[in-house]
Amino acid sequence: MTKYILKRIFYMIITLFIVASVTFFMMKLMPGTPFTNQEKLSPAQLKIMNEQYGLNKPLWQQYLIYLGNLLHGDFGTSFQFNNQPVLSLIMTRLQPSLLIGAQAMILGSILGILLGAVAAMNKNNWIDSLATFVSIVGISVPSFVAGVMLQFYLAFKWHLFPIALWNGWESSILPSLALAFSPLAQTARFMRTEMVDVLNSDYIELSKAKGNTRWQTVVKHTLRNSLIPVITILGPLTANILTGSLVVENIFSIPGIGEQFVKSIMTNDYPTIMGLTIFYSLLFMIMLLITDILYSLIDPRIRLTSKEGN
Amino acid sequence: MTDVKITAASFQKAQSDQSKNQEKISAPSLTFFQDAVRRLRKNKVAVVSFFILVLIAVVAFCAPILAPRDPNAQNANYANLPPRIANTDIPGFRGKSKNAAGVETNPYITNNVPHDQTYILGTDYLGRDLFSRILYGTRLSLIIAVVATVVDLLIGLPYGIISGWKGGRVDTFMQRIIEIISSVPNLIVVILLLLVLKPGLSSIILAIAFSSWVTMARLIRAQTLQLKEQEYILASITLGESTWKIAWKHLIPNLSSTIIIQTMFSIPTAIFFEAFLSFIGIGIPAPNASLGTLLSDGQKAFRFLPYQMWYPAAVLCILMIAFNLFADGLRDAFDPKSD
Repeated sequence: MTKYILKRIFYMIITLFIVASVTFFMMKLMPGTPFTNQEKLSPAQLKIMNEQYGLNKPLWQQYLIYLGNLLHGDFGTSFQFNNQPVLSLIMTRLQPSLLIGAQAMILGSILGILLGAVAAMNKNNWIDSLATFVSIVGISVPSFVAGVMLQFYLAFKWHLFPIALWNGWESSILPSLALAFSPLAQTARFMRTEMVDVLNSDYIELSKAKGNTRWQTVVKHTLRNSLIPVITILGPLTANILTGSLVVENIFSIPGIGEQFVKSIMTNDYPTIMGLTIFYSLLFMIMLLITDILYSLIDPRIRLTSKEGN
Repeated sequence: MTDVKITAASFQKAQSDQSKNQEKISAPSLTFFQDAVRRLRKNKVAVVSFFILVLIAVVAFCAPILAPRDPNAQNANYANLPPRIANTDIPGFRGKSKNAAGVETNPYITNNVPHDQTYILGTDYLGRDLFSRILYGTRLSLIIAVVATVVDLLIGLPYGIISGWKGGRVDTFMQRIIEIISSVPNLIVVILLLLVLKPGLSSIILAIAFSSWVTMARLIRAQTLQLKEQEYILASITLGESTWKIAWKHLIPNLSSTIIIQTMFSIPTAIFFEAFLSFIGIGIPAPNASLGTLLSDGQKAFRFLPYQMWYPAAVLCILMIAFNLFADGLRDAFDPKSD
């Protein structure tokens, strides 16, 4: 197990290195310089600026310096946004994004599991059809459309929640709801398929034969066994929420990393774009790793097969 | 004991065609595709979605004929007109809107719009006809999605087949590349590519295709690995068939259901990507309309002129739902085990 995790972490580091290199060279290919958005600068000023940011050095030197700094946890300095170091820029904006993302994930997956379970237990009747319809709508309606709708009705028309900005926990409700749709739909779909499978298995038959009630069977055997594979979609769900947050944070003007990313794109702020790309990839890979570890911890059958495989 | 006389009369002639009858095939034998289509036609939801998709596609592609006005023609005097159908009295199409103070106004009267002018879905902040823009926008979004999916297929299919067929080191190397690409969230890849490429239609298509071929390649590889072990493949290898021919004649036909299903799921994803990119402002450049740019324009005025967001959003949602439902139906039809 430890060996496996170490191997995965080693691959993660290599992947991050490649991602960092590729983004570095891509950013260098980008049209426009970070100074195009500023007022007219004299050639002398431009030269000073370029020197200050190390942009006058040859490309390979810039690259090596960048990689060296990365190893020290230095993601560079933002070209815009008051010349803050990228890392501190990310850190100050992390809290709202994490709160919204975590809330959306928890809410979405719990509701999704319930919806999927109810659908599977009522297979092929109207409850099932309704649940299927809800999950199709959840998958199809983009989070930004859901976000704008929520903002219009719940905040603007009915004044139930703050419309935008970040003033305490109430501000996080609507964005979390908007982001929760897609995880809800995906877990519901997955859960339904899994649970239908489990309900058809022999041990459920045995549990019924032993005289367990329907609820005992569901809680003790069905739910537990169907939940195991649902863990595998944690990774993709994280990716969904990450990308969703880019635009949902913009709709609700939340000072999170998603909003920062979009702003940085608009202002050609290379170091921030690179830093956030690496950050997002790291987060995503960690989630994938956690998923795999959780999966093998919860389901002893997985561990067995991996031992045999070795 | 009496003698039992066995004469020819005690025998009965057996019906010679009895065994034939038992083995007679009553229904015509169907090919795999005919069978799948038969199952698909039984699925009402999928059939309805299919017709909705066809309808939307036909209407969108006839945009140059159907659109009442030039989608990019501006008319500052007629800006932000709410939906109205001339000479009728249908709720929601009376040409009335509420201003910031919540008072109902009729911009048609205040702007002196001739009485017989019809803006079915109103106009946007530059006075462009929203109905025409939605028609053209849907067309553009569909074109982007379909072309991106074709490109995605053109990369993903050979990649998956080569990776699965070659196996060994080539496979490991190719899979590592896939792992690296998929360890960055898809949309981030699209955004980064779009920043490097020149903004425009082809860049968007390339960027979307580049981020989605990975899923296709993975599925194709997994299937190829299985197919490789089949006897008929072994037979063609033994007969000295070239790898190219095996891929064309044996692999691709057997992969076709995976390809069709995955393609149908890729299209709505591509529509979503395009809408997303245009929504955050790095998609289709102005003044062209796509569903994404219409949404993003509409969102800016959403509080007081909600129709500008409502209609494009509705079209996008219907399109996405219909695609997903149809793809679901296809999957069930092609892969009966999955149900």
